[in-house]
Amino acid sequence: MAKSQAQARPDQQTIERLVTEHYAAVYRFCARRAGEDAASDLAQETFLIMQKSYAKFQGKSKPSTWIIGIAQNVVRNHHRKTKIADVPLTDWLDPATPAHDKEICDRQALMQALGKLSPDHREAVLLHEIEGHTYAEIAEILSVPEGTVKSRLHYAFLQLRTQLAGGLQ
Amino acid sequence: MNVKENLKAYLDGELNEQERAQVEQALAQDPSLQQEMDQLTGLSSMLKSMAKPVPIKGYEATRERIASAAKPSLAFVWKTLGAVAIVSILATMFFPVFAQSKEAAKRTQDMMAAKAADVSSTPASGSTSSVTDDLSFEEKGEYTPGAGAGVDLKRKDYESFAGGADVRAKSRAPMEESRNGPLYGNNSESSKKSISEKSANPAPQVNTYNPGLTLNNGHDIVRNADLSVKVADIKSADLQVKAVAARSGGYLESSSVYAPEGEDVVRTASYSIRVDSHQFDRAVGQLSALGEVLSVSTSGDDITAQIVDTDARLKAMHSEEDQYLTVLKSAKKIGEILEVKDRLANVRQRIESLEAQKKNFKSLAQLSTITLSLTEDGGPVDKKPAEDDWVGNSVKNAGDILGAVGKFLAQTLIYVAILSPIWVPVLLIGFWSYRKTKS
Repeated sequence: MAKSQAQARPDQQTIERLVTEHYAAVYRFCARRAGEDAASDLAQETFLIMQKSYAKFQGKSKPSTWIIGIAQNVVRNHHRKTKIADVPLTDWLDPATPAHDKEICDRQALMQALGKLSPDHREAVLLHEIEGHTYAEIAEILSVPEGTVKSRLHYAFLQLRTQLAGGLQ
Repeated sequence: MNVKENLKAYLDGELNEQERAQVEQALAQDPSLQQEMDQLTGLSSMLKSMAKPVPIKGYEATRERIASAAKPSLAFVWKTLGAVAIVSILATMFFPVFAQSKEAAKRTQDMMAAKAADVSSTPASGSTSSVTDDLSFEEKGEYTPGAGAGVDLKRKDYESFAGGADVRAKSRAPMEESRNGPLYGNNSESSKKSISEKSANPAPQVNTYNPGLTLNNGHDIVRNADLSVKVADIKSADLQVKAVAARSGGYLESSSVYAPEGEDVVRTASYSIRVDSHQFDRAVGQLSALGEVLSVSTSGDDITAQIVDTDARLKAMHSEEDQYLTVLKSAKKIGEILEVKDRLANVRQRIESLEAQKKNFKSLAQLSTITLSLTEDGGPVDKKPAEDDWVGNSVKNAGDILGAVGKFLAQTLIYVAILSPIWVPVLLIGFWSYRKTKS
């Protein structure tokens, strides 16, 4: 009861704490999907929506997942308005980063293979491999069953391995 | 799902215990699975290492925006003020409509009650069964002080003719007593004397308020009728009209007869007849029986409020008179006596004025007016179109409809234009809110 009352009237300190804790993740999420130019506005919009709808947050998931879910909707609306069908890989991958110790294939070939994935599979890879979300978190962010996330990641990596078959060490 | 499909989830630590055991068992048995898992691990590591670094921007701006959004905005204040203003304007505009509706409802209720009373008192007459009966309490005409004299002159005739009215008067006597009782119950001696004089000398009938005019709902009604009758012979009908006027305790106020000799002449006559209100229905019935009734309408003017108001003021005046009389008895100084007498004279003068006013109301209520139009049979009153001009009628009807539609559209435009101070701000606020929500 006390918890629900606190949720119904969030204090400003709680909101500001959430902004402080999750702004970086939300900004990166937006930048990787809509570009850095639009990322600030989209991140701000995400937190404004979070502020208005905080009373509806039931605490069933982690606040980070809930906020990223809001950001996902904000970015989706942005794509709809700007008619962006596909997010450029260069927004979230940079082949010029320092090389890994155990690189099993050519980076450009990997980029090309990623470019051939479907948007759903690529999004699953981005959420899990780059942004580090668990399957359960991805399922909530994308509003799909957890089994679907598992399947998408399996087939995404299967397709990458198939594309890179000749070049894999 | 086979083991290969679970390899990625195994690497990510997303399998349950049973699935994980299955994968580990398969890995131990099949070296190719280990190679496959190594490739998955290598790809995952490469992707992580290739992640583009993203410098964070806009944090402070977002903090400030969040903080300002938490404060009550001016927009909310403006919206509230706007809503209050709109409600105030609407209330101001429509309050007269509500008040009018309430008044109209009351008027309708009174009309229904009066109509019910009128139906119950209307004699059965075959000649009036097919005509319209329009009873309303619209204010018509004005009171004529001279009318009372006519009643006095014809009163004896009326008494001998209308015995039924006496019975009704007696049956309503208790109502009159209850109405006048408090009025005269505590009066001074002079007032009592005045009453006793009235009861001893009933000759000026107009001075006695007759409750026979009081309807079932307690209203005092001055009734009027407008009657149009087609008769066979205008001259014999003229005689009968005068006889009816005489028998009905009233008199012929005015008459106009146009009856020249000749076959192609339409003879007409019109009358204004004042009859005793007790004889009103009977007189209308007798006049309707002169021939074929073309139209008849009756109306009633409710003067209950005026009578009750006069009674109340009279009561107050008599009470004041009593008080002055009491003071006068106890007064000893000449100056006091003279002053009290002066005031007493003023009060009595006002009492006499009110009593005269009351008498006027009574006399007005005692007389009803019947306006009669006679037309000799064969006149042009009933002429109908010789042939059915359906084309002309259709054109006329279509024109009427077109006119009505045009009128409706014009009225709508006028309403929209005049009410624009209401709907334009509402529209603008709605549009603004929509734009803000959308943005």
